[in-house]
Parts: sequence; C-alpha cells; structure tokens
Amino acid sequence: MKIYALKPLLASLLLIGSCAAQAAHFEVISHNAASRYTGTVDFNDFAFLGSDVSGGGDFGTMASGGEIAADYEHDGFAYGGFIGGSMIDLSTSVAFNSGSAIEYFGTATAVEKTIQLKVVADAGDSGSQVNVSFAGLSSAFDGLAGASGSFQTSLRILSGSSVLGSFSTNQLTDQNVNFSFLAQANDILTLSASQGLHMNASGPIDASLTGMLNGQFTVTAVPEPEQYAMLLAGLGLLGVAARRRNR
Amino acid sequence: MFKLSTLALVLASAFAPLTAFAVDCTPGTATGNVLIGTTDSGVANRVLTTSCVTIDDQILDEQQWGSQAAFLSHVSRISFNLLKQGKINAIERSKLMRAAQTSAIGTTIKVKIIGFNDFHGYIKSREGSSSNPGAASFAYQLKQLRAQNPLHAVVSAGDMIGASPLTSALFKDEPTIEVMNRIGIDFNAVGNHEFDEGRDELLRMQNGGNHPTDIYSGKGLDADLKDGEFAGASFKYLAANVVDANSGETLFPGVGVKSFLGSKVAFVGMTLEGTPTIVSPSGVAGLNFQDEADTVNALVPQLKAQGIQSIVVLIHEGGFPTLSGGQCVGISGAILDIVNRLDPAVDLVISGHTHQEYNCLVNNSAGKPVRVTSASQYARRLSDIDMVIDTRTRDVVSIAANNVVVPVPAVSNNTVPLDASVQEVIDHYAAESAVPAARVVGKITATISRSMNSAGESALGDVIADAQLDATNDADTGNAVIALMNPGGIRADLPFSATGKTDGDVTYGETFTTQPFGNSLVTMTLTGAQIYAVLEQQWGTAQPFPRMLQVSNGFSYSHHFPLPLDRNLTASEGTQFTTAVRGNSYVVPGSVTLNGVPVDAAASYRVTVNSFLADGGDTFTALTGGTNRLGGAVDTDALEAYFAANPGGLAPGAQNRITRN
Repeated sequence: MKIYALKPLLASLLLIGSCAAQAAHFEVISHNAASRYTGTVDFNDFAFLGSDVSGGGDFGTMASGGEIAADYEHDGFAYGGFIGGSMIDLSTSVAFNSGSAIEYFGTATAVEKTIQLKVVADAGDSGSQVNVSFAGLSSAFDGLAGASGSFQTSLRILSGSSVLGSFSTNQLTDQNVNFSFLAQANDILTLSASQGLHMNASGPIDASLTGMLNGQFTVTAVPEPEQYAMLLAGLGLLGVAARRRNR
Repeated sequence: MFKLSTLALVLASAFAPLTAFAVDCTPGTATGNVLIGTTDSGVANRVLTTSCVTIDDQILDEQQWGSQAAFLSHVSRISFNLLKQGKINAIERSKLMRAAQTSAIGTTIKVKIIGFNDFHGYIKSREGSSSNPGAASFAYQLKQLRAQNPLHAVVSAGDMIGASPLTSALFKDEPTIEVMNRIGIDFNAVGNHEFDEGRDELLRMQNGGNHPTDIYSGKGLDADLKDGEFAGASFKYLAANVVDANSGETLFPGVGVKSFLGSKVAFVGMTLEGTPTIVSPSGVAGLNFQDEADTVNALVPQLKAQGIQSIVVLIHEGGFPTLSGGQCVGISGAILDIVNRLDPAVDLVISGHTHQEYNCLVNNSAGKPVRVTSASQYARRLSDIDMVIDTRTRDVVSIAANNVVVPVPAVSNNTVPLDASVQEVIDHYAAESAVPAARVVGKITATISRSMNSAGESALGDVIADAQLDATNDADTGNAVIALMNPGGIRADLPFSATGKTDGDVTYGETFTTQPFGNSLVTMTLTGAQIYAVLEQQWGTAQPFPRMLQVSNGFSYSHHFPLPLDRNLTASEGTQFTTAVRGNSYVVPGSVTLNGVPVDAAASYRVTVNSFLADGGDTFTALTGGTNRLGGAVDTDALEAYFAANPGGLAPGAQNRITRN
C-alpha cells in the first residue's frame, strides 16, 4: 500500500469511529453480590465473609483473611466488582504454607448474583438499538504443586430468560472472552458472574491457587440507515479526494 | 564526549541528595514493608526493576479512587501480574489485597471547590481601584489551587458581568466571558447585574453571537471567537429561581451536576429574590424571581431521586460581617434567613452580592451549621474549599474553607505571577480600548469622591446630578428643574491623579468606570407631594439599607434620619434599621426647597432621573408615577457635556444641599 493511501483510510476510520462513538451506556439498577473465604486448617474452621466495597458508580464486595500460626500460614481472599458501569472484575485466591503435616482445605468464592443493567441511549443518539460487546480475559495462577484443587469462572448476561452472552471455564490457562449482541435502549439486562476455587493440601507444602476474570463491556449506538448512507457518502468523497491526490 | 559525561556524573553526584545512595536498587531487595495508605501490608517492599520501581510504587495509593472497589480492582490486577511474574507469592498477594481494603482508600474522595463572586468584569489590574488585582493574577492563583487536586469545580456566585469597567464594558462584557472561558470555570449563578442589559443580552452571553447593534461587539482574538463572532460562555449559567412567566421554565437550568469519580455533586445556582427591585424593570420583564430557600428545598427531593447527596448552593445574596478579614462576628443580612430555612441536605453555600469577605457557619433549618462563604469582590479573593465526600453515601462528610488573597500586580517591576493566556486577552482589549479610554473629557481641580458626608451627600453625587440637570433643563431637552441620582449608580471616584494621564484630567475611561451602566436620562413631571414621597423612600419599608439620592444644585432639604449615612451600618444598626427605623418619615416638613422657594405639594415639577430609577429601581416606586416622560442622553454623555461646559475644571462642591438636623 502506498503511504498516501493511508490518509483517507485513517480519515474514514475516524469517521466510523465518530459514528460509533455516539455514546450509550449501562446504568446499574441493582447489585446483589457476595464473597467469602472459608475452610478448615489444622482441625479448625475459618470463615471470612465479604463486606461491601461499593462507592460512587462502582459496586463490589470483598472478603479476605488469613492466619500466621507457629507452624503454618494461610491466606485467601475473594473480590468481585463492577466498576464504572462497564468493567467486571473477579479474583479469588487460596494459599497455604506449612512445614508440618497439617491439613488444609480452603475455598474462595466471589459471586455477582445479579447486576441489573439498564441500557441508556445518551442524548444525540438516533434510533434505539445499541451494540453491546464484551472483551475480557480469564486467567489463573497455578501454584498447586503437590496439592489438588479446582477452579470455575462463569459469566452470563440475560434479557428476560434469553441468553445474550455467556462464558464458562474450569481451565487454568489464559482465555480471551469475547462476545457481542444487540439490545434496545431501556432494556433491562441481568449480568451474573461468579468465580470459585478450592484447594486441599497436606503439609509439608507451599501451595496456592489464584483466579482472575477481568473484562469490559462497550455499549455503542447503532447508526440508523440514513446515517450509514451519510457514512458511505463520506467514504465516497474521501475516495474521490484520494484519487485526485493520486493523479 | 568523555569529558562531558564525566562532568555530568560529577554534577549529578554533587546535586543528588545523600539519601539517594542509601537506596539499594537491586531488584528483590527491600527496605520496609509496602504501606497502603497508613496500613502496613506485612509484605516486604521489594524493588522490582533496576530503575528502582518498588511494589509500593505500583499500588498508587496516593491518588484518589472513586470507590474501594475501584482501588481493589487496581491492586488486584497489579498484584496478579506480580504473582505471575514471580515477584510476590499468593500469600503476599492476599495480604496486599487485605491491606488495600483495610486502608479504606476509596471510601472518601476530596473535591476542591474554588468559588468567587461579584467579579464585575474587573479583568484589568488596577482598573477602577488600585486594589483590583485583575484577571491574570486571579487566573494564576486559581490555577495554582486547581492544580492541587484533579477533582475540582470552579464556580461563581453571580455578578460576573455588569457594572464593569471600560475594558470589559465597552465590549459588552464579552472580554470577561472570554477570560472565564480561558480560565475554565464550571458554573455561574446569575446575579442581579447579569440582568442589567435584559434577558436577551444575558442569553447572548451564554449562547454567543455578536450584539445586534453595538460596534464594539465581537472584537475578541480569533482563538476566542466562534465563526468570527462572540462565542458565548463555555461555562453554564444557572438560574434556579428565575422563571419565565409564560413557559414556567427557568431561564437557565437551575442545577449543574459534576461527577467526581462517580460521586455526583449538584450546584444549585440562583440570584436574590429581590432582583427585580434593583434592576431596570425592562431587563427582567416576563421573569419571576422566586424565594431562594423554597427553590432549593423543592429541588432537594429531585436531586436525591437522582442519587445525588452532595449539594452546593451558589447564591447571589449575602451578608455583612461586622469585622473585615473574613470573620463572622455579628454577621447580618439576608443570607442568614435563607440559610436558616435551608433543607439539611445542603452541604455548602457560596454566596455573594454584598461584596464582603467571609467564611462562616450558619445554622440550617435543622439547627445544624452549614459553611457559608463569600470572596469579597472584583477578583480580590478566591474561596478555596475542600470537601470530603463519602463515596458510599455520596454525601459530604466534612468541609474546610479558606479565603485566599489574590495579589495586585505592581505597576512596574512586577513580581506577582500572572497567567499568560488570560493576560493575552486583557492586553488585546486594553489595546482596543486605549484610544477611547484615554480621551480626555474634562478637568477637575481635586479628586471628586463618592464618599458621603453625615447628611448623605457626596461631592461626586452633586456633580453627576448637576450634569444630568444641565443636560435636561432646556425647553427641548425636558425643562427639568431638579435631578436625582441613585448612589448605587456611582461606582468609583474621579481621581485627580492616575497613571497614564495628566493630573486633573478626566478620561472617558474614568467616567465610564464611574457610571458603567449606560443608563439614559428620563425627565418626568412629579408633584411636590411625589417628591416628598420619593425622598421618604430613601429609608422606605422595602430598602435593605438607607439609599441617599444625590440631588442637583438649587434643590435642598433637611432630614433627621437617626442612623449614620457616611458609612455602612453595623450589624446592630442594620437590625435597628430594618425593625424600627425604615418606613418612618424623616424629611423635615417644609424644608424641601427649590432655589430657596419651598416645594409645594400640589405644584408640578420637572424632575430628571436615570432610566433605572424612572422604572422604580432601588424600590423608588414613587417615581413610576411620573408623567409626561421625555427620554434623554446617556448618563456618561451628559457628564461629558457638563465637563465640556466647564472647561476651567470642576471642583468638589460644598456638599450643603442635604442637611441633617
């Protein structure tokens, strides 16, 4: 491709960008979530329940706890948050370290049971259809080494009872999470997400299991047909301009 | 090259603080634990890279977070990456997350509100008074404050324009709007002076476009214009209590909302309910001005329904402290009653109108103290207000306020820092107005002051009233025998000496600063009884304080008004005035004379006033009864003509037209 052809291309991309950039967004109607880190260690049970860490336009809960004893240490947490009306963030972790023959069973769960989202088409949007896309990464850190455990992350978004997008895995390897769907302004969507993991370990051992899901929703207005026509006309003009410059 | 690098090394070691050598930047080494806020995480603060970045450096606990969740999300991602890179273990990541939660970072945010009021177009330093710092010094100080906190709002409590000096007023106050656009402010509540030139002109201030007839409109720098015309304000005017009588809608939005990391703050803006009594009625025709506290209280439930709990009121109404310097001892004035009636949901009141400086606590309707500020006048002060907001409740938990002095630049060898961008606008308009401003219109033999004597008469008041009489006493200009001038329309002294002119000269710029409103003269017929009534309205039931009309030569009267007239009333005197003094008669019967002859209650007299008074302004409603009205010259033109008619120069008079028994 010749260099000068880049300019109109960039311009047309910008044009598409500015069309797509007609803002629309989610408004959080309600948030119902919980988190906990529980288990047993050395014949004692422990349970750390989450507390609310919401504020501003963000929602979340987090539980964390741990213990440093003479011959062992364990620590774990579970955090789940929905930030800025667009970002879902889950992380759970269990970890145990002992030089003695001590038994540990730990589980951490972060559950966003229901996040009710209203689709808001901002002023300036024409038409009420929006495109919702999600891009995220599921990841884990496997420190099991001699212990055993399991991991599960799930995410689902519903309109009524119809599933618009979902993801579920029990793999520890990195996985991209991508989906998109169309919705209407004023739709109420229900987002649910959870992450849970557990580990059982027998000392002497130094082991852990950590999970992570992070992803972003992007809500954009879908241009009406006449806007597409304008876009195409604009692209055509740019093409003519480019051709002229080429001569 | 070798020498240069050696030199650099020597220089670096000479200037580097000694402690720099104590830090070991070997990755993996640690000095102390990671502190999140003040919480010790128990995790060693290891160096991560050879450039000395530590775990602590990546936590960003010094910056503001809109919620605990937002901060935890950040720490979660940072610590997960460190875990994957083998820089920390899973137990340490857990501890970092727990410390992040325990630190309470994100539970509150600190928002800086920068407030000012009664700017009145004083963009050029020392214009009107050597105490005026001008907008470039003002902008510099404001930007210094703003730089302290990325979460900020800059707000004005009215009278940003109107009653302004020549550099702004000649250009229809467009310079002031352009200066504010360059500074970047968020909201301006309308004040009474925003209505000086009527609603259409005020709407033009917001929306832009050139003035339909004034040749000095649209003269801004290209960068400040839009499509070659005045661009309008990039900030939002607010007018919660100004309602269009036809549509029932407010003239401007009542509320401006600014979101700080997801926590919203509402700014409710309004002017005093009494605005129509102090503005030319034609300027506010078709607009209703509603009770201030009632307006705010009615908005509170609507704001709460939108999840807004932090509420700031910007109000162009104020108080009078008895001590200068911002203290609140014995503060009086209309703002007290308003705040006393405010819903407890209101967190902060930024007030104005009285041109005073204060930083007070006044009880709301629940008897709880609310912070009430005012930042003097003419860009001389800025209210620096720090508001802590609980991100979970989104309500204000504490407020600290401080009025900051804006320094006045020196005439030569100035060391006061100035904002270059704003100075560029001022220089442009100063140059554009230099020729008209410097034009000498007359001479004076000494400074002619607007300060009143104990009877309520000022030397400048006498000169202006005489000029207005002279402009209207011919058969074809009105046949006037008396002129009356409102004291609030005399904004500055005429100084004998000033920079840029010869001693004794009076420039057009000075007369403009003295009489900036551009009122025209109106001559009307009043009966002697109506003249008595006008004089008694100087301390009438609707006056907030005594307003002494200045009178022309040949007209004379005596009164026995019981409170001081040569200074502002103290708080107790003010209370005495409103409760026991006003509404009574103090003009000595039979003392009102014209050229030595008693004014006859039944006789008719031709009286000249300005268009503001003619419409009943300043609550002189008796003037609305005047008949056979004839419009005349603009007030500054009348003054200029009077100077021309007295080429030998005007001297301060004897101030013996009003006497006090």
